[in-house]
Amino acid sequence: MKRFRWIAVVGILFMLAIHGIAQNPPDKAYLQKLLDGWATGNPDGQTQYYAQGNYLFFDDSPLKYNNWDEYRKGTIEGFKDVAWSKIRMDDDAQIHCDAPNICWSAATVDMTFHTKDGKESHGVRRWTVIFEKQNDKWLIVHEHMSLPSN
Amino acid sequence: MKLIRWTGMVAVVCLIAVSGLAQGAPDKAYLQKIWDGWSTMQVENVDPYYAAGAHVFFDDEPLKFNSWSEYRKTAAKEAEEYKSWKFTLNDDVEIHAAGANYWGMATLNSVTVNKDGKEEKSTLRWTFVLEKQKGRWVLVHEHVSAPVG
Repeated sequence: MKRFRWIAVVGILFMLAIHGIAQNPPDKAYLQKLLDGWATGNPDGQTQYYAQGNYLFFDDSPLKYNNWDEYRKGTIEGFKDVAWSKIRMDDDAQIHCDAPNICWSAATVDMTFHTKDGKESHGVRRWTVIFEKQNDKWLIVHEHMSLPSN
Repeated sequence: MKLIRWTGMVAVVCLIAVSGLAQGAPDKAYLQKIWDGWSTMQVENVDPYYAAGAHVFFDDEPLKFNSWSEYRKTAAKEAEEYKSWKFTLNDDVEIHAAGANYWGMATLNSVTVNKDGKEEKSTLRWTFVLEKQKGRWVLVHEHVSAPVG
């Protein structure tokens, strides 16, 4: 009987822990984690952070992606010639949670790309993200990444 | 009794007027009005659509603005270099509720003519967050960009 009680206590604690992880709205560490994922050059690994379905994403180019699958394929192509990259969010990141299931963030982001033929490109981009909590997980339902003109 | 009836009627009329002035949810027509304001090239025509205070806005350039007051100064200066601006929202406009606020995105067509008469056409991307302040929907964040290449 004592053993069952312990199993139940551990079970409840485990569920609370899972619940706690899932419920946390995105913070700066989470945003940097997303960017660290991109820096690996493996867009497939980013699938876990993006909502599936008809969601619009704006990246450097082309004009727009109509869903994550299009976005993923486009970025796989983009990373084809990249040897390694470093992506660091600046200190100006701000996160606003306007509803229990919606948060949005805005930040500038420092990006350095090294190509396989030894070229380096560096740029500071602007990054707006809309998160929606779906099935207890904060997923990106819209993203706008851009370089300023000139 | 007559006085009470008159007071009641005046109160009802006032309430109807106030609720008429307060805006409903933002729609595509409202969003196009913002861009029509920009198309006049007079920043004072878009003042009513932007929240005052510390709000970050990303325009085509420079990197960022930390307030509408910074943004409008640069935009006014930029307008001096052009003869005309015309911005038209495309049909891919999306507007989503976020608690009391709204966010959304769209692509839009931009046609600008500079002082030398050179016309430039492009398609821009626009992401926005609207908050209701004093009965009006105002932008508390905006991200406008042109795709690279």
